[in-house]
Amino acid sequence: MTALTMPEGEAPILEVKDLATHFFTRAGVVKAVDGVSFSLNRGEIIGLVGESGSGKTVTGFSLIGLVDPPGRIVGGSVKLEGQELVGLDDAGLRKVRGARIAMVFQDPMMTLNPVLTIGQQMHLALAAHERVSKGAARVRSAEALTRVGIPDAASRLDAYPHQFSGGMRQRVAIAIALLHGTRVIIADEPTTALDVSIQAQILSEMRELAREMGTALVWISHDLSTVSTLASRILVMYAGRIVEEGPTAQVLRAPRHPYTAGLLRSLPAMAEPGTDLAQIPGTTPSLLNLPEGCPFRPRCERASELCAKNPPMTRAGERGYRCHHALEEAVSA
Amino acid sequence: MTTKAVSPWRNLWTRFCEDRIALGALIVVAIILVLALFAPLIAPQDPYDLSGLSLRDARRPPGFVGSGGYVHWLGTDAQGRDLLSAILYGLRVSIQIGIFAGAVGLVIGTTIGILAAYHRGMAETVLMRIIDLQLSFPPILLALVLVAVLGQGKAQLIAALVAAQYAYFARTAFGASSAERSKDYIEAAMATPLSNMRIVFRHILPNAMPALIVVATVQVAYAIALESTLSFLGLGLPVTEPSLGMLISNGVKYMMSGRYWISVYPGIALIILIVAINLVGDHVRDILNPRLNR
Amino acid sequence: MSSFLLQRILQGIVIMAVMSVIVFAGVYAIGNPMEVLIPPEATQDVRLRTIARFGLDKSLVEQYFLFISNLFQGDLGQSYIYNEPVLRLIGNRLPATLELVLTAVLGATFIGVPLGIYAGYKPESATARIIMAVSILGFSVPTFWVGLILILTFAVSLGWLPSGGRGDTVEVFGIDWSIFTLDGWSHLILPATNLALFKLAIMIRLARAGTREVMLSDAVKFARAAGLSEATILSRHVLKLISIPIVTVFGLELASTLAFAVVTETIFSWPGVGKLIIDSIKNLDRPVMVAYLILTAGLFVTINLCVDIGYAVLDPRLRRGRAE
Repeated sequence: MTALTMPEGEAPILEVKDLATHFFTRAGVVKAVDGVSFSLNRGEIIGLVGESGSGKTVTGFSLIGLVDPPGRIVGGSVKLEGQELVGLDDAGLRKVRGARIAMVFQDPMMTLNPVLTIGQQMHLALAAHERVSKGAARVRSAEALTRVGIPDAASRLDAYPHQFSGGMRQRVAIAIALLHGTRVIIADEPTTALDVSIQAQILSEMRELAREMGTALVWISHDLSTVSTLASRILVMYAGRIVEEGPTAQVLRAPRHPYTAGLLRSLPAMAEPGTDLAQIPGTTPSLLNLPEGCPFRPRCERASELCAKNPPMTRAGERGYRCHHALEEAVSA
Repeated sequence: MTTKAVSPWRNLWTRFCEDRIALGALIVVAIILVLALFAPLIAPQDPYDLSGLSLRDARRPPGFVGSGGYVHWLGTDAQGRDLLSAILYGLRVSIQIGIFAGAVGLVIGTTIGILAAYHRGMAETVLMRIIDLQLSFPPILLALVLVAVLGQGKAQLIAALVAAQYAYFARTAFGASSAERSKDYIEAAMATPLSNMRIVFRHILPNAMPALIVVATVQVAYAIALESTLSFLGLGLPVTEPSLGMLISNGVKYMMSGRYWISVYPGIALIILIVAINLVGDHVRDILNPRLNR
Repeated sequence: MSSFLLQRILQGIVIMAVMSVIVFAGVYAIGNPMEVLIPPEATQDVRLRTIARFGLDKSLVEQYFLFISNLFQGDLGQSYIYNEPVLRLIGNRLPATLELVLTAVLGATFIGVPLGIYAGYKPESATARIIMAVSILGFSVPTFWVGLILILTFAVSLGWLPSGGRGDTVEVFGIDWSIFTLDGWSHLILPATNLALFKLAIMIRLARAGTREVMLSDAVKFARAAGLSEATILSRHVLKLISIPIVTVFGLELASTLAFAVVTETIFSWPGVGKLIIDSIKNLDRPVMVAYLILTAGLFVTINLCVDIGYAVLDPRLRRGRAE
């Protein structure tokens, strides 16, 4: 998998540094994203994994500058092809969104406007970034739909979203995201709401598309096994921070963070047949007024007094983890 | 249950106080209520006592010192009544009718709504069909016809107002309680020997209450407005007990000749009252709307 | 779709039948019109003849069926007061009410919806707060009071506009209209504003609530993620999404404004059906009341039907056929 990374010297297409997004609610400050850093190379697929409430979705929205109040990006930087997006004004962000970085949402039933035809919605998305005639828009839209595997695309342009199945709607959403030859797509659990059989289809199609078009993907998911079939690198997120990162194969084979290890043990595919699935005890902490220290500490069997202090990101080669008591590296990395 | 029931109300109160306009409106409502309640003590004159009136004082502008020896701050009306006193007494009548009509509507409507939600099936279909049909009909027309049918008088007027309004309460109570009714714990409670009344009063009603209170405030304001409209059209209360609407109506013919105050001041009192009640209701509604609370 | 429509039409017919019974029974419970119709000094002979002439000697049930059978022949009876066929009486006044109501509701919609969208789009802004304050005022202040103030200000104090009446009319399609003359407009504008204010408040609230909700939806977020400008999102996505409840309310308000015109017409001496009904209630002119109420109910049913059809046009989900 590492072979996919770009040659030395080429700058990453997306570079995120110390990104922090906080929600200023009535009850207090929720640090949904608290110092997230990673980079994405051209055409690369990375998986951002975490339980619900870990801040992975907010991270996704922060990348395209679409955090709803009372949330706000309070610090850090997001560089898309060298251009800083944090602090960019609305007009500037609008030019970037959909053209150079796009997003696909979790629930395809909700993302498309029910009262506009597919063709109208695609036309609007096209017209957002270039002047297109109605005819040209139809041709381009039909092409885009065909590319994502929608048969008889031209005639489906006049259909409304409710005339499509969930999987088809998600394909439409993906087609819209790809309309402008977008270089980076943030996919926020785009298959979770779909049937298992369709999930697999869409996964493989997405991988194909990304490869063909050279599009890089940030695949957000709570499901480690989905991500493992797709991503070359994995970032594990917990309580607003990335607690472990590394090439997929290595992280799966030898997790360093106890949380990752726990996630892996809870996967049916990873468990010894005949044994019970292991669960991580406890639940994700509330991000409201999170105390100092390792947030996983209360659920961690390896926790010690040391964990009252925030563990820094420890890096070794391509791997990184935030833990005072990291698991031993397995036999050979 | 009781400890749980207290905190939402407290929470509501704290959040209510955060909005200064709403809080101000609530204070205005309270002041008006006090003024109306103690009108006989505050008003310089008893406007119903015809022997105390002198036609020499009729239609005098604000600030006029009449034969009673005191200042008519808001002027006098066509019978020589002190307008300030008439307004205070008029507020009393209007508020009385508004609250009474609102309360009766609340009880009747809520009973129907909860009955429909609780029993489901045919009862639900029939009752809610009737309610929906009525909701699509303008209340003013209904009230007009009823007043015409029943004749004039306080009881008749209240009956007309209730008939024009109870459907709103029924809809709200139905919506809130049928949502609650389908929750698991009610299903569970219904399987136990708990009496139906107990389930309704302990579980369903408390949950429907906040929404009902919002509707009640708005409907009281609406009843006051509707009453004054009917009185203005000459179809409201008998002349012996002038509500604000009738005071306004009495002054209209003098308006064209520049004696604006006879109509305008009662109107301002009416508007302040209705606007203040609506501001309060509006803000509570915003707080209670879960879709806007994040 | 067609079965849905058929069901709606049937429902409408049932409602009309029920309404006719209720109205008839209700109205005939009111006082004895003979006291108004027959001068107290009239002889017994005159009295009996008058009663017979108006069919008041028959039983209520008989009178009802007579009324219904006449209704199907387009005869709604004679007014006691005007001695004219009720239908002609109402027909002569309906155009005045219709143009008043249409002007008011259309005005309220075209002004109120954009204001409401703005208030929902930027709920915290000062402008939005002002818009909402206006809407609360429009909602709270009784129509008759606003009417008085409008007259006081624009007719009495400023003398810019006439205080009542309908002004010059022009005959178009055999009906007199004042919206085609300048003088007509000068008479129309105050009552229309008066009537529109309440509707304006409703439209603002509706559009605001809809916009606030839609702005939080994934569909809008996705449109933003695709780089659509806020103006496009509002004018294409949001407007279309909130138009469904707006059309419903537009229809309902059109009907209820017809009823509400009663107040405005009284204040501005607008010679429409509203003034007619108030007069007939006061004079116990039963045939006019019954006819007015039944016509209004019929109008309601018709408008509701149109709203249902409008629904289907606007919301593709209600149209026939799911492809998959």
